Amino acid sequence: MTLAPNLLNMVVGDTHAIEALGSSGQSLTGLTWATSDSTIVSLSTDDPPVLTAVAAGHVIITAGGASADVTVSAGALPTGTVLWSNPGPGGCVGNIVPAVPSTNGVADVFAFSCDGGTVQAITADGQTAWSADTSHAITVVPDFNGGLVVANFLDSDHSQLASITRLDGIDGHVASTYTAQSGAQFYGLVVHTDGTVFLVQNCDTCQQRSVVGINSSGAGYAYVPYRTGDFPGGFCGPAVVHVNWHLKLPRISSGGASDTISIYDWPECFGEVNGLNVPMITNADTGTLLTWMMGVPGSPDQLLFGTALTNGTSSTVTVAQSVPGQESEVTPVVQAQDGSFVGTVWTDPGNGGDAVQLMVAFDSSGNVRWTVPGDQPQIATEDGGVIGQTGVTYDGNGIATGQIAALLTQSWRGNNYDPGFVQQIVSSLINKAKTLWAQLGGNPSSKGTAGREWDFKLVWLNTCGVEQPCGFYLHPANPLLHADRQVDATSQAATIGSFGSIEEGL
Amino acid sequence: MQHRKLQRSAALAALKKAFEHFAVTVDEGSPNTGDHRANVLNGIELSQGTPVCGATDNQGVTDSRVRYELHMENAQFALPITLVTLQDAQNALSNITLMKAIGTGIGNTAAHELGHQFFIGVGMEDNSINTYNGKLGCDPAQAGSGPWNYGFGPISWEAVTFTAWANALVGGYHR
Repeated sequence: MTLAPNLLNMVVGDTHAIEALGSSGQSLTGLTWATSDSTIVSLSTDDPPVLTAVAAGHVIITAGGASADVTVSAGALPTGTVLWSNPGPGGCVGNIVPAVPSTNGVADVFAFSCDGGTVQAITADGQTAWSADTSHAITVVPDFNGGLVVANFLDSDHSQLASITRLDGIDGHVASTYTAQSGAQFYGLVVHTDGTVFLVQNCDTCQQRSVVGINSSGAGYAYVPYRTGDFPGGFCGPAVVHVNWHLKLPRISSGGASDTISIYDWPECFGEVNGLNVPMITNADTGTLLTWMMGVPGSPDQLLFGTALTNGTSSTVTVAQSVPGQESEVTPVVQAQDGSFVGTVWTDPGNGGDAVQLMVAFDSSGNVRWTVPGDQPQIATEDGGVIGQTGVTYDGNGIATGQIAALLTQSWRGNNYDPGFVQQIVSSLINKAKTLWAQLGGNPSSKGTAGREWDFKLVWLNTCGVEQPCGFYLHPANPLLHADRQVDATSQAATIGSFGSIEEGL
Repeated sequence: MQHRKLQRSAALAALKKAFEHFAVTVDEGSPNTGDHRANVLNGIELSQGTPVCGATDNQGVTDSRVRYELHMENAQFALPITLVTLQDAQNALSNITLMKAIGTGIGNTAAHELGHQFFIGVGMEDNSINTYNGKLGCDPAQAGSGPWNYGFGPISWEAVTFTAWANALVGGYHR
């Protein structure tokens, strides 16, 4: 049994709720509660009791063999003080995710156990409102109704999707279940503010991807960019086929109707292999903002950069460099309600040195407002600025205004939490988050997505292969060459050159 | 520089595909950016006398090493492409398929090593085969492995590792 919170810092005159929890997180009543000094903290006669801070000092609160430390201060609590601490599921918290405030939900944050098997709804005053099983969860996304949407894997094959369930925000019960098609996997899970859950489902048997809408009840949209090609006939050269490529953006409504927005078209000779990467975020409640980088048709060694803003079914496309020496597409990260956005981009410094990553702010039309090297946007703030991954705070003009000690997890209510624990912290942050994280899909940027994804980086630090072809085996002189590697270079030529499909998701 | 662009693009695509089911953003980065990193370095790293494509020191770290050179060699074998002269090697830089295979191998090894930042043994044991969960997956010449690492096979985590990822990444991450 534990008490929640099991650590409290209070100011004289404060009151605070406390509860006792059983081993599975259930609330216990009927216990005998006691305070080690009622002149410092007194207990009400409620079950469980309410604590009142009477005078400065330290006490132990006990109930049923469990205890909680309570410290009372006479004055305001300094920045960094732990307001309260909740032991969390199983006493080990893997991560915490902000819950979206709702009259249909009670959590301020959701706390996941270290093994991912349990989630607890933690209230703003540190109590555990409910616990639920997430042992079959592939991914979990807070919805905009105070609950959680859970994608569950199949027992017999954990890579397959079994179901999508919604955990109710009030008590955590399974409020609805969508059973996936047999053999289905999914790519992307988007929870719209209107309650619709979108996912791109792929199944082995049907040989196609489809967008599935669950619990559709409003007028939301999901967006799924893809590239398709057609062969108009003719050749670019001997045996080199001419292809017309198209970047398209289907827009699927909550009701299942769809439009396809044409973004960009380009001709190409089969073999130029213009790779395409299309980051996308939502665009201030009107549509999406997507960017891409590709080789220039006919000259794929040169780079082409595009940005498209969609509004309804129309799109405004700009094809141009955003910054000098640009080497990558702009990756949009956060967007403010006025449509301005902040992203990252890689640039060539022009002196032979390594590429430099810039944080770039754009206005709502895609014009560059300012750049800052060596940082990445994490949180857009109410004053039009941004907090970088380095903890530096920037105002609306990109001017550094301060440095915060650590990036805390901020709930939608503006409470701050120490990541890795369920501890609410007195923070010096004065700007509430405007947009926590924008995610691929149809979430309006006014509310964004509660919680950000993990961020994995591929960091190129090699010089080998950049300027020289070091490391190729030369047959048969290279002494490292295995005998079984002496193979016919043409034996798989047909496989190498084949292209099974002219349509691909991005 | 086309060869460099193709490799990087293929590596990023492979790494993204490895995590497409999960709440993970994958991008290129610089040292000490992001939550977890796979750093591409030059040469072969010896592990008990055997060159390895990647290495991760311990579970819980946030940086891994991916060795470029071995992928360059193994991709040549996987396709296969035989190079006889130094001029052949120079010409290979304009071989789009080879450049993409090198990048794909690097991206898949990066995914494998990122896995070890979360799991070593339980959740991801290196004796499994046929996916980039496999110990010798980077070497297409080894028994029990294959050229899939370089873009010829299905990319999928084994069930035990997929489940471990799901549990570790559930709910995303926020700070």
